[in-house]
Amino acid sequence: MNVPFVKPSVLPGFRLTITFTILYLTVIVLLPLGALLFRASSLGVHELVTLALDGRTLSALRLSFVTSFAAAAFNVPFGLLIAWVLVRYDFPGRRFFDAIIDLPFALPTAVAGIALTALYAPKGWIGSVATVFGLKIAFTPVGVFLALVFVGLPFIVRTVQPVLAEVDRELEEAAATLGAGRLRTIASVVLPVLSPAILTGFALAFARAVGEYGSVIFIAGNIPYVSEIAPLLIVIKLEEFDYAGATAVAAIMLAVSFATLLLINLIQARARVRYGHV
Amino acid sequence: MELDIRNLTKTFGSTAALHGVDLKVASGELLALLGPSGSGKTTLLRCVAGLEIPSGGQILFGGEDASLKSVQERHIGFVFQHYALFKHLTIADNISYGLRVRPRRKRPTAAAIRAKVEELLALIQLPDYGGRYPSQLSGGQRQRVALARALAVEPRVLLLDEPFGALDAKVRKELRLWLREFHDRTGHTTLFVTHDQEEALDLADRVVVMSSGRIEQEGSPEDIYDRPATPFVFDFIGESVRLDIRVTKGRPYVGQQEVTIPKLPPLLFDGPAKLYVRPEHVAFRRDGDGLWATVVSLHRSGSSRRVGFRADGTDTVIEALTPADREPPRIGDRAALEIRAAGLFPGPG
Repeated sequence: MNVPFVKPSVLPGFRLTITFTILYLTVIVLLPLGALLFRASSLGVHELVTLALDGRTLSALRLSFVTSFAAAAFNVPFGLLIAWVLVRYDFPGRRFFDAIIDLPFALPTAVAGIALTALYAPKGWIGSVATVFGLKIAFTPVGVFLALVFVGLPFIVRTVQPVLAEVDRELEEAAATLGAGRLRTIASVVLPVLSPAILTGFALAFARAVGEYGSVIFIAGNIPYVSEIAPLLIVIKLEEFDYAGATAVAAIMLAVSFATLLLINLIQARARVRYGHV
Repeated sequence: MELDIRNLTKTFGSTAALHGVDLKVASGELLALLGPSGSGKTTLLRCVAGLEIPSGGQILFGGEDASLKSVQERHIGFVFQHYALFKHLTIADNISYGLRVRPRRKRPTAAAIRAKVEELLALIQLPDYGGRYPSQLSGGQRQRVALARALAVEPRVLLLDEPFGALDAKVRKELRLWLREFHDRTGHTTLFVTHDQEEALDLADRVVVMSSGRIEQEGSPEDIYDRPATPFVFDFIGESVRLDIRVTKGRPYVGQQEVTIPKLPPLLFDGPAKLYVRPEHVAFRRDGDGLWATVVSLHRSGSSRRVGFRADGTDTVIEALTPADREPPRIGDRAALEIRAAGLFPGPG
């Protein structure tokens, strides 16, 4: 048996595993996306553009992507800080706080949505305080943003944590002996090592936020043109039997998400070239 | 810049790493801190650097108390065992790091920094390596870059923590010679930590032997090797065997036999004692006076042969060195041992 591209190994099975891999990815990932694209393409370009440029669709898409981006970006510094505290310090309750990080992962999204709404609604604990200052959180884009911050946090913390734990402390000590202050040391020695992990965490948090549905729809209030997210718009269109409209929104979301992930991957590839010697 | 360490203590939790260490380092001196792991030598070095905060005592840099100064304010150069180079920066950027992080008014101009980097790259004999990354260099080259990076800021004291520990034997030796030469040329006050006695004895002007957070002995390499002051130093430096002996009326006895050891100070005690003997200080012959013993082992090692003897009335094997081309005795032969030099310390083994 002579299979190309394969180095002899004590664990053979290239043919079996590659067949399975291709089959699995096709059925689970590519087929549904292909079906979506096929449907969208059957709409025709003109119809697709008309549907996409519809005011309600546009504002839903804008809300989804802008708040997702903002929430992921907001989570970067704070997630970094939390990861730092969990990795660098040993304090009573550290394991407890470490476990709490995963809650937004594990919680059914609807539960999170109800909990957040109860808290931030005008009659909720925080919402009522905010109302005094004339701020409205629930049923506005701010509420959407808060829900997305909630679901995105674990991605930053969990991707940065293991890398941070591996950071060689001698590098920080070396920087200090050379006269670098604390902020300088963090910026010039620690962050460059963490940046690939930060970028990965950001990409994951962003992707999760774009697709988030359950935890958002309760707190968002879903007012068209104001606090209606794109995934919800797809559901609404489906319920109205507007399959073409739903497909169009879905196709646009797919395209934007794909472009974003591609961009992030390109940045990472560049970083890898630069820090390839790490 | 001379260093004065006074009664320095350091405890980690409930364990003491340094018990009141006093040490003076002269300006321009190359001093080795030698000891087994856990002896406190690295802790001492890190306290001098400001990377550890001492629990008590003082560290004076040129007469000025630096104990409370931060790492950044001490102006020291520190070289780590595993180089600790910034992997995402080029060699040139690594070397110039300490200059570039200075506040604007103290920072040299870009041209001056470039010139300094060129000068240091030439000094460490890696002139064309400025644009490379640390991963593209060998271990020995990386350690030289780490040294150049430490020197770029013109430190008052140079501190090296096991600088050759991660390198293979050949590179280690080369770099050791290079560092000695480099020190003679640049004249920095240098402290280096090592657990390798050969390295310490070969390289340093003065050697400080440490064990369990205390200084056992300090002195020139000759002092340390030829005149070990404590049982620990005898054990740790060079090769030796320990014989449990007895002193009766001021005379040493191995079993029932009295042994004659030249140049021993008068023994003012009676009772059990420990005798440390190096193989090169043991001679043997087939007749005459001496410590009678039986040959129990023979080993060829390189150009010499080791002959193991068991003296009558003891279980310890005393080794002697003899040239390999000399006719060796046979196992079971009897011989009289002459001990030309030894260390004798009171107390039971």
